[in-house]
Amino acid sequence: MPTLIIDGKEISVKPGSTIMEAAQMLGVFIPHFCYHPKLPIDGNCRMCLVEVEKMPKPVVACAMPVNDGMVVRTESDMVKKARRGVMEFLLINHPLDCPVCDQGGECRLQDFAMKYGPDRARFGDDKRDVNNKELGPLIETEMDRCIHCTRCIRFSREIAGTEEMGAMWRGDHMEVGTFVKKTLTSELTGNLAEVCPVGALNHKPFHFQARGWELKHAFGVCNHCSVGCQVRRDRLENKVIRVEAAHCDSINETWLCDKGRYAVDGLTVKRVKQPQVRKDSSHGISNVGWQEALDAAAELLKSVKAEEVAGIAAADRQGAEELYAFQDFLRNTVGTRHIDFRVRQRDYSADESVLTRADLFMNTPLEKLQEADAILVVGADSRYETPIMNLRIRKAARNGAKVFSLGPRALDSNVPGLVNIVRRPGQEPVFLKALLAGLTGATASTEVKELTETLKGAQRPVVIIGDHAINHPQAELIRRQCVAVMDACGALTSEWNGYNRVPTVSNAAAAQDMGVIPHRGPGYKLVDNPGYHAQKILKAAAEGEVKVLFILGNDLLTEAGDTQLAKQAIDKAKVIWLGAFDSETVKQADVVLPGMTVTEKDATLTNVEGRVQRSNAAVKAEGEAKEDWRILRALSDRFATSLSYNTIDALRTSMAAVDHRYDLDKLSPQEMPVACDHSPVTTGLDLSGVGSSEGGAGLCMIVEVPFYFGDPVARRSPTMAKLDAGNRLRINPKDAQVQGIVQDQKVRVIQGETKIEVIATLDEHVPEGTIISYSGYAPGPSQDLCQWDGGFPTVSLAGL
Amino acid sequence: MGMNIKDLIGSFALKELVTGLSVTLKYMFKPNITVQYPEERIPVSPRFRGEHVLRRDDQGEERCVACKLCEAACPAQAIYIEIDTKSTAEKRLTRVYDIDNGKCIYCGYCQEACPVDAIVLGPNVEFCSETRAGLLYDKDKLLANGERWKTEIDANLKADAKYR
Amino acid sequence: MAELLEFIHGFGGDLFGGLWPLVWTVVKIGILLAPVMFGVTYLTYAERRVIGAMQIRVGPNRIGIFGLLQPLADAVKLFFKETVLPSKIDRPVFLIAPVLTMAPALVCWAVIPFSPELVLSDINVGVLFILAISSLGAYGILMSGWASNSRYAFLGSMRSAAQMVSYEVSMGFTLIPVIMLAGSLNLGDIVESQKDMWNMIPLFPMFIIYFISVVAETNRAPFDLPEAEAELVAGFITEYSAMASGMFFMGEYANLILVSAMGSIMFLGGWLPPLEILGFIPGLIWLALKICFLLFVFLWIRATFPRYRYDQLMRLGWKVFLPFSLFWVFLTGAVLHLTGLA
Repeated sequence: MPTLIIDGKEISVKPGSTIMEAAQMLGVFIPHFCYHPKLPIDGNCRMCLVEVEKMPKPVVACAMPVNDGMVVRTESDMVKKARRGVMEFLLINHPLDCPVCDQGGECRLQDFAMKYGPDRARFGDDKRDVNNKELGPLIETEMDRCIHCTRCIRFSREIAGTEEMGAMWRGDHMEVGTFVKKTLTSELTGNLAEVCPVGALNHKPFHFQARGWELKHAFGVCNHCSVGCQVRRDRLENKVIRVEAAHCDSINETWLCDKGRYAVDGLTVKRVKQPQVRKDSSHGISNVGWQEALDAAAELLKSVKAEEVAGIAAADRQGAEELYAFQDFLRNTVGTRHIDFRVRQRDYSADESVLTRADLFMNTPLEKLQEADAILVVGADSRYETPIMNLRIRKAARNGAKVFSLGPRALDSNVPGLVNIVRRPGQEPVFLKALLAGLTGATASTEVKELTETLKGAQRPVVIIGDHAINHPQAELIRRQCVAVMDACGALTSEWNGYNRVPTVSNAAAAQDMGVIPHRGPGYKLVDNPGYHAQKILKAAAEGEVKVLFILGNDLLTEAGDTQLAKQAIDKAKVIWLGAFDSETVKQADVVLPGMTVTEKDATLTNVEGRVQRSNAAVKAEGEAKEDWRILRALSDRFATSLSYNTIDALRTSMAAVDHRYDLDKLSPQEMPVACDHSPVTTGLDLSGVGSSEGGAGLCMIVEVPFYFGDPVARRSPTMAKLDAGNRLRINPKDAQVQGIVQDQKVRVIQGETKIEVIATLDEHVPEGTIISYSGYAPGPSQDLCQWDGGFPTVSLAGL
Repeated sequence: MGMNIKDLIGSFALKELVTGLSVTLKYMFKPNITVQYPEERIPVSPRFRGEHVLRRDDQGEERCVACKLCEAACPAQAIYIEIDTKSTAEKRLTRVYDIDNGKCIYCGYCQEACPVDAIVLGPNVEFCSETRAGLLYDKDKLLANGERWKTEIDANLKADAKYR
Repeated sequence: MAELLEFIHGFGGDLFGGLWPLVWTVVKIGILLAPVMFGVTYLTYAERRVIGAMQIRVGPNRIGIFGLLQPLADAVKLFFKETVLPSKIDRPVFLIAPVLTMAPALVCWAVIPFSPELVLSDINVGVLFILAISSLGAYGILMSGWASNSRYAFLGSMRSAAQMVSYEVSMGFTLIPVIMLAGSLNLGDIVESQKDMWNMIPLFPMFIIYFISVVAETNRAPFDLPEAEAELVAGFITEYSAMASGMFFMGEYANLILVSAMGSIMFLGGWLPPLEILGFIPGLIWLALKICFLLFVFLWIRATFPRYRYDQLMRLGWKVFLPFSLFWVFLTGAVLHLTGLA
């Protein structure tokens, strides 16, 4: 361990560390522009020059490896003079437009010019004049301000993996930009503006909205996907107008995807602000006061037998508090058993086996994922389902891991060397059976040969089960097979557990922990008499067996796995709807109770690693909205058994009592909550039921969740609308030729009696015989074509 | 007793009273320093901080670029600005620029902070109002003030420029 | 003069018959009080101008030439302002108090001789009359403080009463040597006794003590503790508004003129000219000049000295002025006895 002295303070660091890293450990600040802890070192800005004893010239701290016995001075006269010189050079071409610059007030160049720079310029000639680049709806450019630190170039090359940014020309003529004029296609473009130390790259949605110093910050957790990135929400008055990544090495490092960053402008669009009650069917729904609405809801719940009430929650727009209170209210106050949150899942057979948290979520912490040396992705489009997790997969691949993807289509991925194993939807278990045979037997068949060898040779193999596999008609079988694969690789030990099931729905882990499922209560306690799962609830409601549906924030008519069934259920049953976002489902409801979004309340969010995090309220909700758990508490007063907690602390204490992971007070505020602290994965379950390897006839349709349109906030966001491709049907060009469909043609998709209309996109990534449609586009979402308990729907097309 | 004879005699002779009286009497015959305000005025420094104006440039465009530095600098939080979201990089403007003169303490920090000499505290002091609402200045009022006091303010800024 | 009076009496007797003596009295009061009220009015103006000059500023100069109409403007303003009657006051007392303050100051003028023959009521005990009547002013102030039902007013009036009582004692004693010298309580006689030498010269210390005492007696600066605005808002006037408070001020100023007139008569030789050769100027003018001088000194003092502390005020009255004036009474008596002048 080399030991060096920086500004009179001694420190020992790992060999190969740089002076900058050592100084940061010591808490000595060395000014820098191009250095970024998560980007490769470039050493071009020269701002971090420091003096090292016995070296004739100042050296760049960010690129200089430490040596034993080095004596570094960061505030000597030589350093000060060097910084002054560097600042003067940088300011030669940097325009003096801080007052109109979005970075003004939060700008490194501004701060350092103030602190280290000269107050007069000696440069009298014309400044460099660079044309601005049009980089799409997210990044605003002002390239005059660029100081050529190349952080953006390094980010897009090394981190995002989309080599879109680059430097053209040389010396004074150097320009940073895309080589040809194009819109950035990365899902991580917002980070370009965040890494830019000056105001050259700015967030376009934030452009000219506010100045940095006016903003109040609230640290919270992103709830757009299950990774649960830590974010800083900046508000002006009562509106969140910017989201930045909060530094968190364990989860998102310093990155954030575009949805998490920019979808925030959807928060204030189309909200439920006022309690509403449908007084009688002819009058429609009318605004009422809270007491009246709660009375109406209580009356509705009491007017039927307890068993005729069922609850459906949406995990991704609630904190664990609400989910706990919701199941507590339904189970203990109302007395029903029917409660679920998995509205897109098709295979509920897992409920019958005793699964634990380890079976349902990740076992490899995100931090460790990058150390994997073989990764099998099953039915996951990880780049768009969990972009920040995908960065770890990419890191692993860059470190030499081989990455395989088993799924219904080739992935549009930025992972280098990804091997796509495309199987017709429903054929995944066949492939996995062959893989298992290859891993356990002596010889492997040709189709699994490469994968088998890679997995056998891997020290730290990883399997990742994604959205497609989780909502697969044979999801439980696939899951068991994946467990068996990891078991065969010996990767289910406590040292390295490579089995990862990654539901994309944010806070799904909290919903499982808090028992918003029919067969288990909070804390994974099995219930004696399990109620109906989501599919059965809707069926029962459509048949009149369940008479009152209590929906917590869910927009079933656009989100359910079978929207036709959801529509029948909502038409037939009375609906109490509690949540924040207005939708078609809300318009059908009989009692509407306005709740809050996670951004507006203090909430506990659990990510897919099982990491329990607190998120702070950033703004106040508009209108009459209240915290959802308070509404449930007030509603429970109208019943014999009311909820026992009056404050959020009391509620959290109750939660902690059933699941110790939620007792966050035991952790220090600085410490990250523990990830993946669950019991071992259940092995040895039955693997039978694999179908034949023959593909069916006709076009098989799969439904995916669009990245920029995947949740209610994103669906409302004007910024996301600019990025989203719209309601599309992706089809192989050969299939399209057969069907007589051309690019951008309007197509009618027919399945039995049901028809929907979408625009066709020809895409070679889609295999022949498969078409891909997207959920979430109302009216007429593509789930209309899905029968819940059937397999993947076979459809026919008609061009219009 | 700590009093000496001289003090005792002085005290009995009411020396201190007479001294005081003589001072006031002397001043009675000195010329008055009163300025008869509406007819006479004292000279106003170019740095005088009176009523606010928003200036326009030579092309008649608003100078203010909505940088909000004055809002940040204002110790009385008398300034409220909203950026015009239709602004472009070439022309960034305010949508709302309000000054509450009831809050303003005339410290001139806004003028100091302004990078484009847009907000200036002009020479005018005669702007009383009979209502509080009359003290709320919006952008139109401030710009109109800028037109009204343009000559004086330009001269003042020119006179003071070399000290800035 | 006598013929003129004769004529007026005759004319009046014809016009009013038996009511004439009453009417004549009213006329006489009017003739006497009109100049006093005029003096009060313009004393306020003079005060502001004089103090202004001493503070090298202007004072009122906007209304009329040199601001001469300022007092009238103030009077109009006071008349037209609303008289606020606070809800918890003792109403009758509250309303009588300003009258009771102002009336004694005017009543005393009855015995003031303006010239040997010009005196409304030439009584033998003029000095006693004045001492008696002017003490009644304390009641007005006490009543106002009590009736206002306000702490400030009450404290102010308590201070005022204590202050008046204290200083009346020494003021009385300063007048005794004068009476001893004149051998009479009649004010005309007292003036006449100063033919050779004004009392100010032999009794100079008494004159000073008298003057300081009346400053305290009239609650003028630097002894304006009853209305010390820094402590008591406006003392006993706090709850008064419009003409009611105006009457307190008028009383104060009338008192000021009265004590100046008394001072002139007792110490400055009344209507007597300073030198025999100036005797052609009427005595009334001389008296007016002397009164004006003393009034000026009042204003001068106000412009010069800061307010006394209350305990110092009491100490000065009881421990300095009272023994000193008592001693002077003895001294005067002794001198008179030994020289046989009495």
